[in-house]
Amino acid sequence: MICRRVQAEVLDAAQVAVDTFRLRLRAPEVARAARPGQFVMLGPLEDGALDPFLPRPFSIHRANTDGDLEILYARVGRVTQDMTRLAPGRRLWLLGPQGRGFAAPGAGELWLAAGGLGVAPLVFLAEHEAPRRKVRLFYGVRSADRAVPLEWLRRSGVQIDLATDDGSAGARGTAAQLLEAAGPPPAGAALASCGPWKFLRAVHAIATRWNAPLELSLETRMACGMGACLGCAIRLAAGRRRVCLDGPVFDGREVFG
Amino acid sequence: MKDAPDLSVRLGGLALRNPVLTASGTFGFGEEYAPVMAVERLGGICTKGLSLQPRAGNRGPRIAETPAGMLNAIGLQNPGLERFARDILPRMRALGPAIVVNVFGSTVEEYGELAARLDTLPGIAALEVNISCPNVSCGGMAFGADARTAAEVTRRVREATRLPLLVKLSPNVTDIGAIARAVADAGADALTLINTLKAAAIDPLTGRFRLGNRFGGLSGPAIRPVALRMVLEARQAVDLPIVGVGGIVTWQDALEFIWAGANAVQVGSATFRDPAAAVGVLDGLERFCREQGIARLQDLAGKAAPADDSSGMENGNTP
Repeated sequence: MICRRVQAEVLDAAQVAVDTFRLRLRAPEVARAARPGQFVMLGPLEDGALDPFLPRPFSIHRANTDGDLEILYARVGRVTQDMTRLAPGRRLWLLGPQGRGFAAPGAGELWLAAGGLGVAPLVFLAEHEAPRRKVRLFYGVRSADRAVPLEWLRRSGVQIDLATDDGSAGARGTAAQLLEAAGPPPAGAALASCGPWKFLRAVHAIATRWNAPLELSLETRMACGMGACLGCAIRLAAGRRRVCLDGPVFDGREVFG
Repeated sequence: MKDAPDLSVRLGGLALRNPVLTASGTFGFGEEYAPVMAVERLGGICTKGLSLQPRAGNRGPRIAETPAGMLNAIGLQNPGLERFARDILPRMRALGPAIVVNVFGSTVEEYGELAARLDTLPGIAALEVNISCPNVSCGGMAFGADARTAAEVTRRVREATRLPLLVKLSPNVTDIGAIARAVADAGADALTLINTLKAAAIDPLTGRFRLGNRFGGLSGPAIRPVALRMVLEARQAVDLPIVGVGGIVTWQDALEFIWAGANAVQVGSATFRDPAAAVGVLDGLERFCREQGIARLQDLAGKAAPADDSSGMENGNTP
């Protein structure tokens, strides 16, 4: 595993939907080594300031061979609020790429179910896999204005179905309901999902019924992101696991049994 | 000054080439951080707390950030002696720094048995006896909160091993001096202080505790002045070498502990912020000594001087 700590340069920080932002960084060593499903530890944003104290984990939203890396994040607290104000040219500490990413087994269709910001790592996976297999993304958000624009991904061949809780765009309901209605997928298909815990449980139930392999990307608080502090360890059906190094991507059966 | 300054230190029977260690629980077993920092430069590595049997640790969430610090309630999750001896220790030996195995038990007998069995393993430089973890119901702090039990654990471990003993003290006590004396009399080579401060945090909007264990240990810069005070009090109480720990992020922080009477320091939570924090502390101490013409860092230990009564005048704060 190639994990490094580097100074990344901010290329731009843009709002892409309500409370949703995209940070583009230049970090060639990290971007080129990154695999879909891996994450980075970002920050601290201010070198000398002791508060906030810890870096924050973010899944990698996109990465390319030019050395650019993108993080998609919601403005939920102090650090993410500060992140929205990062000016181009600012340099930030970045540790990564870290963790076990998606295996996306087989060569059959790949079906992805994204709950809200869970879309972040799935876009990387979709972009990565689209050249070699059919990829479908089932994307659920609370309302139309919270949907991250993904026209570019559609143009690269990924079939995207949108669901909103309030019916303001696409189908009314969740991405899990959308996924279920579209299935079952052809034999040989693989599934991957990221989103809130209840949503992942619903997707797991569907994948189990279809007898299709499912990978889940999990999220927890982390301190080190290096497997050392055990702060991110959570109890899964298969036992206690560190989200940072044993995951963040786990087999659905490992998570829910 | 032409010669490199002497940063080496003796903590009783434990000789270290430099006084910067990583604190137990913040550095795993060393190999985790090897990909991103120069582990080999550390004076020593204190392992994650080890027990005879594996432990699963506490339910989550296990960490929460707080002002200039963090709470943790990991619950001493560890792989147990057998796996440590078979799989982990051989790899740790290849890293270079002195290996200090942090040990704990739920009874005095367990502390003794663990120490006796570690005594037979090659490559361990010292034991650090943990009588101060605030996050487990029995063991840990239960022993360190009282001078008599602290001494009892120390004595038992002392009888069980020839390895140098650091005893890691809890700050969650009324009289740290009394406990320091008791542990010194019971045969400790050195004292490590402080462990984390028992603390809590609650989400103001939901009313939920932020840790699954409700209470956790506070670490980070927020506790540094408290740690420094306790090093000063322990320094007054005993002649034993002291390893200072608590909120050290920079080399200046480390120097503060040296002036206060610490002979070595541990870098803990700061590693989460910057994996190379401990190496930065080491570089800074060396540079400071070189620039100030200090031949031996140890010459500064415990030499803190009184505040300058006129220093308030600098800002025009005339009385």
